[in-house]
Amino acid sequence: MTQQTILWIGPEKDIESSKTQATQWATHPDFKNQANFLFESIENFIEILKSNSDFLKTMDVLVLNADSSFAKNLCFTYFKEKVMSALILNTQSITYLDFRYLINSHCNIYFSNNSAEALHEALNLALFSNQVKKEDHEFRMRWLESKRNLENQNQNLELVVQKRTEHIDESHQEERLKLIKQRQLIKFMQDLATLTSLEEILLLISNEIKKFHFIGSPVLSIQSHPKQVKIYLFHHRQILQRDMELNFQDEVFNSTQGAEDLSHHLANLFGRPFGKMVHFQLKTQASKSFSMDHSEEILNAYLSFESQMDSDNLKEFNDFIADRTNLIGISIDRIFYETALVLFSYRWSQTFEGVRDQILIIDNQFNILKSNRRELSDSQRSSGKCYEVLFNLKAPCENCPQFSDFLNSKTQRIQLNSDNHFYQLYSYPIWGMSKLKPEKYVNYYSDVTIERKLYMNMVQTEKMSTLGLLAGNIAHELNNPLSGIRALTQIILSEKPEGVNFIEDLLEIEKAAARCQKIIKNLLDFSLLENQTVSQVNVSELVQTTLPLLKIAMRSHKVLQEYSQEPLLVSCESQLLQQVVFNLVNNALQAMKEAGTLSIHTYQNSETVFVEICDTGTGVPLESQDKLFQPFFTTKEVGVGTGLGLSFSRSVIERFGGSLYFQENIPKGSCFVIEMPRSQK
Amino acid sequence: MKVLIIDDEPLIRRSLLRAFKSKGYDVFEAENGFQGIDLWRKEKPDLVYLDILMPGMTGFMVLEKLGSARTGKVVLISAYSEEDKEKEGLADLFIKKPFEDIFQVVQQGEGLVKK
Repeated sequence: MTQQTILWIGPEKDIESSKTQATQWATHPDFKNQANFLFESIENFIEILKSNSDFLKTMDVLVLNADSSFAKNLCFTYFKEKVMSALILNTQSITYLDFRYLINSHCNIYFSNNSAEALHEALNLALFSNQVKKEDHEFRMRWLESKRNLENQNQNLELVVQKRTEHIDESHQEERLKLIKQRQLIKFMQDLATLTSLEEILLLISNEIKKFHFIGSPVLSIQSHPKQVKIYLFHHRQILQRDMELNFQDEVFNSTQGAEDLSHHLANLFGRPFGKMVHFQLKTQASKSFSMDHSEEILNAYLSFESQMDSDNLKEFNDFIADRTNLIGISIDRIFYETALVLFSYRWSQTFEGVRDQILIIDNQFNILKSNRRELSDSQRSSGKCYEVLFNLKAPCENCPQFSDFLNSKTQRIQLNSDNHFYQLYSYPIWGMSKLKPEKYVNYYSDVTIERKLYMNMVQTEKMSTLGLLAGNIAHELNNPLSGIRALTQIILSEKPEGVNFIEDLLEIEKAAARCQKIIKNLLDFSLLENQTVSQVNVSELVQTTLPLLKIAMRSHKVLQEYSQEPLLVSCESQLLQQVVFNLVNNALQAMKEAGTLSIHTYQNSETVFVEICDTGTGVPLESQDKLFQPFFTTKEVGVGTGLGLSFSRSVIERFGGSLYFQENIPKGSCFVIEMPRSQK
Repeated sequence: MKVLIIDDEPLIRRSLLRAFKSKGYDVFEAENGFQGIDLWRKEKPDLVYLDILMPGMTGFMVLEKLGSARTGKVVLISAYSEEDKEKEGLADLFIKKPFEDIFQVVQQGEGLVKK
């Protein structure tokens, strides 16, 4: 603690008493060690000031007990200019002028009545000043401390802020990188989404990894079969696809063997050894539930790269690819699904188009939605009613399955008949939202015309052959009594009975019996089933023996016969030729609904024998003329004709080197002409 | 001369009967194979007209059954010429039915016996 310095200035004579007084005061416990006194006479004080102008500066309290105006002025001047903590004046020596003067000074001025009191006041001031100083010091100390604290805190805060700022900068950087990464990924994803083949994927990946040096071009391996891997790779900037056989039953690269196999295989392919390879498994799900065969299934998919990177860079590359494996896997899945779907759809449409029979998909208003046949024009395929397009009808077919109740059965089967064609229609309903009526139908039209005609023909043939057999038997049975009748008549005639008038009758009976026998003989010859040998046949005779078989059919018509005088010899099986003639005459007769004329004309030239069989019937319409000789073509009611007569006849005639053709008969009717080469004797 | 006619057709039998009777022969007729065999054994005919296709017993069966009891010349008559031809040898003559002229048939039979 510092002591206050109190300067007493007074007359020389008062120094001692003031000293005593001051000592007395200063020993008081309250003031102990608070101050030291300096006592100077006015004269000394002035002398000191003259030599040391700063003397007063070192004083804390000034007790001025001076009635010397010079000393007063000196002090006052000083006081006026310099701050001093206090000035104690002995009021007995103070004038009004002094007072006025001091009022304007900056100093604390106290007044006392006598010198002792002044000293006391000075000590009090010193004590106070010390206390103030002390408090001031403590305050200063506290202030300093808190200032230091604050400074520390501030420093800490600054550190924190700095750190935070650094951190924020860092995370900004990180975010930015992350964002770039995400953007790159999104771009990659967008690029992937547009690709339609594995080759394109490979190309994209290869562009994507360009920034990594020391990484080879990508190799894509798809394991679609436990023992087979399809490999897609770059070779001389082109993408190749290779199959690799596996000789073990496992996931490809889960065993080192697989990776070695792949590296080995690639080495063979590229003609150079392969270095270290990195493999990434792609998560794919394609197939399993979807595939139709193994080629559309993915068991495993891997992306591989040849790498000469050090491990630090490799990590970055690994992360880069790992980010993308999912996307690539999904894209591969998508491509596989798409390919499978396209294939599936293609196969389906090929099957649909390839079916020989007509298939229509129609809605429940009979509109064609889809048709499989190329014969229909595009407009017909996509519009129009089924009955219009297929059958040229104005209204749905009478027995159309759409009119029947589908609730009870899944498929309807009906027969349709149009323009000499018969269809078996299978109608499969496709149910939509409504359970009352199917929304669509798949209609399958199977053309059964030929089957039906063959069936009818079979029935007819069976009938004819039964009839032939029957006719043969009947003919034999008739032969016996006929022989008897004839023989007996001959006997009776030979006996030449007299006086009877039935000889003529008997002659007629004998003739009739003879005729009967001839007819039966013809019939038997005609119905003979076994093959005849080729022989020389007189065509005119053959025609004449055939006509009686059709006598009944001929009876309402006029028959004109004109035979060549000379024998018209041809080489053939007579039964077959007879059948042809029979067919042609029979056709001619059937063509004449009303009484008409049947003309038969046989003649020959140097090489050819001709038989013309003409009628005056309905003739053959122009559009049917070229179909006449086609099998199964018939103008007769179903079941009446087989449609085989003319085609059979033509084939018979052609077999023997001849021809059979149609001519129009003028003015009306048809003419069929047989031409056969003359037999060379 | 004894003539036996075995045929199921009455008109054939009748005409042959009449033709041979008019020539003064003894003529026997049988309308089936069984009667024919009886008469054949009993009368031992010189000439037999035998129809092949008869109900109950065919002409061939008659010949077979008769065996050594067969006498005289045998004329077989048949409508089914083709299939019977191979057995032609069993008879002395084979005549195809229907025949045109009864007198020719009679003459052919007579000729066999008189040879």
